[in-house]
Amino acid sequence: MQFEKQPSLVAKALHRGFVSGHVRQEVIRGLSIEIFPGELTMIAGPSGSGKTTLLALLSGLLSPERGTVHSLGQEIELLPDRERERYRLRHTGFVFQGFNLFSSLTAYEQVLLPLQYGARPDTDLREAARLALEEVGLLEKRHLRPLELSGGEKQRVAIARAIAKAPELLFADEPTSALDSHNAERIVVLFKRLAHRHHSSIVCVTHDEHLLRHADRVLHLRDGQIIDDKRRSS
Amino acid sequence: MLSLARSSLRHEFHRYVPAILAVAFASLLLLIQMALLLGLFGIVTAVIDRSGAQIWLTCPRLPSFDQATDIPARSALALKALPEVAATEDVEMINAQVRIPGGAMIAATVVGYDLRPGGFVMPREFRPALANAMHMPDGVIVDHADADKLHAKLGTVLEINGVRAPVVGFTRHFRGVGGVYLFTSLQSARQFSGNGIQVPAMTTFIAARLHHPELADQVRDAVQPKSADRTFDAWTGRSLSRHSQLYWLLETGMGVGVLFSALIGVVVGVVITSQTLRGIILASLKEYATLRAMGVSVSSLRTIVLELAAWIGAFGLVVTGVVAYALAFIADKSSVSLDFPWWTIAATIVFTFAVAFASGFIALRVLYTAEPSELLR
Repeated sequence: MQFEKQPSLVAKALHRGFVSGHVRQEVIRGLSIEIFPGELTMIAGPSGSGKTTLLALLSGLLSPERGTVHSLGQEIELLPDRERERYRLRHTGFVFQGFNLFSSLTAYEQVLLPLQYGARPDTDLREAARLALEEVGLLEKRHLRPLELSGGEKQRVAIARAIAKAPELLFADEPTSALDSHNAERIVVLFKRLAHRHHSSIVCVTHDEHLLRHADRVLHLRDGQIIDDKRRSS
Repeated sequence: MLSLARSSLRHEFHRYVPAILAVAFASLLLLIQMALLLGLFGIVTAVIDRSGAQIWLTCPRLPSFDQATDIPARSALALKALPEVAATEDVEMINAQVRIPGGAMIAATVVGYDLRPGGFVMPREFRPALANAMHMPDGVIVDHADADKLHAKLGTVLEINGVRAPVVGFTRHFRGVGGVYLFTSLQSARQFSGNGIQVPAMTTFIAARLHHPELADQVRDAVQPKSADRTFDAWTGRSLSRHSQLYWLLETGMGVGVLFSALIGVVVGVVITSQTLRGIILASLKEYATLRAMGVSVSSLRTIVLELAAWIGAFGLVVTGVVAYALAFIADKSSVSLDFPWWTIAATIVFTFAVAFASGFIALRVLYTAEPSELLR
C-alpha cells in the first residue's frame, strides 16, 4: 500500500554517535527508513536502542554524521540555519515527554503563541488555535493555566500547540511516559486520528508496548538498527 | 497580539519584583544624588538665578561666584554707555565671621542688595516685607533653616566682623553650604566690610538689567574687555551660574562622588536585574527550547526577553518616580534643597532603560543554551 504514496521523510544510511568521556558510542548505525503521510508510525525498542536519537535525526534537530534525511522533498542538512528554522516553523510540530507549557499562559494562549510567529493573519490564528483545542477536546478548558490542568490535559494542550499550524510532520518523544495508562491510550488514539484526518506523518517514540497496537506501523529498534518493521491494517 | 512577556509579568509579577526594585534603586541613587548636588549648587548660584539681572561684571578669571573679589565701581560706565542697558546696580558680597549669642563664631556670606525702588537684583519674594525690614541699619535676614545654627530669633543681635547686626527677618531657599547666608542692604554690607557708608571705589559685582533680555549675549560680548590686565569680566547671568556650578561639579570632587555612586548603582542594578531575569528564563528554558524546536527563531525569543527588560525598566521608573516624589516632599519639609531640572529626569529615564536593557542582554546568553535537541533525551 505504501508504494502508492510518496514518503514524506526519507532517511538513508544514517550514522550518529556520541562521545561520553573517552568512549565513543555509535547510537545509529547505517539506518535507512521511509516515513509516509497519513500514518501513525511508532518507534519502539529497549532503552539505549537509539529511538530518541533517530527521532532527533528525522526531525532535523540533530545532524547525522553520515547519511541524509530528505524531508518533504528537500535535504534538511543542506538548508542554512534560517531556512531550517523556517522549514520547522512551517512543516513540523513537536510533542515532548515533559509538557513544556509556559506557566503564565492559558491553554488557548499556549496554542496561539507559536502560531504568531508564522505568516498568517491574526483572525486565522485565533480560529486555528480554537480548532486545535477542540480537536483534543479541551475547548471548554481553554482559559485554564497549566497549574489547573491534569497531566493528560497538559499533554493534550501540548499536542494542540503542535497541531494547530497543521504540520505535515509531527514528532513525539515519549509523550505518554508521564501519564497513566488511560490517558496514554487516549493520546495515542488521538495521534492516530490526527494522522488519518489531516494526512500528516506522525512519528512517535514509546517504550510502552501496550500502545503499539494503535499504530499504523511499528518500527522496532535495537542497537541503532531497525530489526522489525510491521504495518498494521486498520 | 499575545505577548508572552506581558502575560508573564501579569501572572508572575512577584518573580520580577527583585529586578524592578534593583532598577529603581540604581535610578533613585542617581536621580537623588544629582538632585542633591544641583540643589546644593543652586544655593551657590541662587543670588544670580533669583535676580532680575541679565549681565554681571565680576573680577577677572573668577573660578566660582562665591569666590569673587572686588572690582572698580566705575566699571559700571562700560555698561551704562550701551543703549541696551536699562539699569545697573552694585552688589556687595563679603565673607564674614559672625559671633552668635553664646559667643561662638560662624563663617557667613553676607550679600548686600540695593534697596531702592527699581532695584532688580534682590529676589522678588523679598519685597515688600523683607526689603522694608532690611532698611534698618545693619539689619540682616537669615534663612529659616539656618536659624538654629545662629541661635537666631527675630530681634536677636549677631555680631558681624565686630558690628552689631539685629536679625530683622527670615527667608527660605537660601540655606548655606557649610556656612550661612545673611542678606542685608548695600550700605550695611559696606559697614560690615569696614568700607563705611560712603559710596566706595570698589564693589563685588555690578549687575545690569537689559531692555531686551534676549540680547544678553551681545551685550556681554560688547562689554567684555579683551586685554590681559583687564579689571573685570562680563558674564550673562546664565553663563556665570553654569560656570560656577561646573566649578563645584568638577573642581570640588563632588561630581566624581556622584559619578562613583552612579557607577555602584549601575553595577548593583545590572547584577541583580540580570540574575533575576536569568533565573526567570532558566525556569522556562524547556518551554523556550520547545518554541525553538517548532521553528521560532532565536531573534524572536530575544525580543521576548528584551520586552521583559523594557517592562522592568518601566516599572522601575514608576517606583523611582514615586519614591523620588516622596523624598522631594520630605526634603522640602526639612529645608534640604533637591533640584530636579528636566534633564535630570531625562537622564534618569535613559539610565533606567540602559540598566534594564544591559541586564536583558546579559540574561539573554542563557537563552542560547535552549537547544531543542536537549529536549530529546
